[in-house]
Amino acid sequence: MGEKLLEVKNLSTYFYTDEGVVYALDDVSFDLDRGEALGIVGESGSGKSVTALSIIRLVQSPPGKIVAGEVLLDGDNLLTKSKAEMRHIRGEKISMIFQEPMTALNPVFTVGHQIMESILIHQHKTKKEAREQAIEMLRLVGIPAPEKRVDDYPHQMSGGMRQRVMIAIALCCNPQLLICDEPTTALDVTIQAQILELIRDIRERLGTSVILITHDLGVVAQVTDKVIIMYAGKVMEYGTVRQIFTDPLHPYTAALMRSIPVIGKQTERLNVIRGMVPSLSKRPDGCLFHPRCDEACELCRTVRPDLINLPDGRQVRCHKYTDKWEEKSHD
Amino acid sequence: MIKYTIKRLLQTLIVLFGVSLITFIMLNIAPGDPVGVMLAKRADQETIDRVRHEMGLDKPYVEQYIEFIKGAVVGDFGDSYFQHRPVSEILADAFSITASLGLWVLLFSIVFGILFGISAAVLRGTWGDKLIIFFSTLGMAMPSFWIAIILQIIFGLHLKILPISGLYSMSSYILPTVSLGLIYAASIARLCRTNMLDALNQDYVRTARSKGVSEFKIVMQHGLKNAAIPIITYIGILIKSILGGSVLVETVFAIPGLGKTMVDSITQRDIRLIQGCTIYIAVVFVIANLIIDLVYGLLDPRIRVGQEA
Repeated sequence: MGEKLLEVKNLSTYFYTDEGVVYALDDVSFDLDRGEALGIVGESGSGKSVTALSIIRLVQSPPGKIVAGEVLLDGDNLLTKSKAEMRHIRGEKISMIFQEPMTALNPVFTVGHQIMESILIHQHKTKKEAREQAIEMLRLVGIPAPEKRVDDYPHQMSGGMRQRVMIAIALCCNPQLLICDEPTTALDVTIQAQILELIRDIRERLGTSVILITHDLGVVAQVTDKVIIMYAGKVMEYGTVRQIFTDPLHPYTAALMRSIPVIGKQTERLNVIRGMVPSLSKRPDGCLFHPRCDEACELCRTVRPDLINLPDGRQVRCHKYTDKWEEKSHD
Repeated sequence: MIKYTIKRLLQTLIVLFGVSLITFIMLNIAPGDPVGVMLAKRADQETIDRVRHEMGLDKPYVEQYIEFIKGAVVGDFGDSYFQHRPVSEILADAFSITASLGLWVLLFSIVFGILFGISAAVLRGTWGDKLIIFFSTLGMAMPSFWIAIILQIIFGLHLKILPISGLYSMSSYILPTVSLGLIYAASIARLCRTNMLDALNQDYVRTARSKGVSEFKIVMQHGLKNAAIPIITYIGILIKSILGGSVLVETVFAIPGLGKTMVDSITQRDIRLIQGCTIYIAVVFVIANLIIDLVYGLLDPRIRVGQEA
């Protein structure tokens, strides 16, 4: 285990909408070591993307607001930085790639221009040097004939190529942390595998820490060391990929595992988790997952469970692993 | 690009031929005879016939049309019946007046329109935004000749600081420019605001922010270049209507521009001048459209013409 790069402590981001306060992110804490890759998994609306946007402080405000917590990068709290200081951190220390490569690039600038833009902001380089570096970056992310492609516009490239360009932009200033928000969701399966391979390769070569946000457990298994399972703005379970896959503790994680189809196994229907993610402005009492949980009891319906630290370094937010549960089951 | 431009220029010729033909036919169908207007009702039939013969109006229509086309190709539309000067000369004079005023109007409306449009988009939802929306709605609702009269009363009659008619000094340009430009500036401001808001909500703006691009550059480069197409389209339409001259405002300020020339030519049945004006307007429209289409390509690579298609 290396030294800590990122510490997120008790981070809460709320959206103040006409329908009431949406608790998009509620008291979320996690650490990330240098060179480590962390997966954040959850259904739509579980707060995965808001976590990423809160870290680089790009939550749209209004209506969004980071109401509490700390985000420490190398011990430095990002939430107290000025806007100008944050601009120097974005792109230089923390970079982000987004879900939609088709729309994430500006259609009226060449891809080279868009890579150079970041280089020229964060490094003291001439345009010529920046252009050469842009070509190098395109080569690094595996774009053939980068000398020619550098002058292409985004619409001349395929989705997979554009996502490679996004990665090139994100990596051009050699950031310490790369946040990937659903980087492969919009891509074909074969292209997905290539992009994941690229992210994994870059992490190994450059030692960049990675946060990979996805709803796809398979993606996490391929790239990351540790996993956070999020549900309704809260961390439900935390552990290594191996632990989560071989021995899911939280009923929600277990249900997610069951919903992955297994090749070669005949099933009538796919396993799905019944019900829907609760509305984040009208949250149920007790455990946020209890309306969909098969094991829920009275305790789950009334008391909101805490995140429990287990001896093997794992964390889980479920009454099953507390003394109270044992008492109840002895009754 | 060059191939496309040539193709478009050829299309232009066809359009101009069509315009000239339709104008010619309409002028000959429409009631009213230039000779009748010229000589009033006093002249006897003999005089009228003589004048008609001198003007070539007794020749067959086809012959008249061919003569007209022959001249028009080299820019010669004959002499005006009433002003006894070449039509091309009259048009050139009127054009230089309309164009010099038009340039100021264009500058005024683009500068203020884009300035306020961007400000409103950046200030979205605040009182500043609402103020700009209010005034741009007001600007669009007021007819320009009415603004012209009000401005004349305030600045000419009461304050006595600006001339109220003619175009002789720099200061005499101010009132016509404002009265003509206000409505255009207001329209550009609204158009600019809408399109900027749209552009600033796109994913690529979030990407730019995540790179650490400053807000100023996000607005002026990433936003404006994407919002520019509809604005350019509107400015193109604007140039066309400005170069056509404004009858009402030119009349209010007694400016001998194209609008006034054109209306006068129609009331006098000055067929040659009408033909000259129509062809002029058609040329302005066609060329302006061509330029707009070519500028699109420069702004947005996705519609760059003649590349693949």
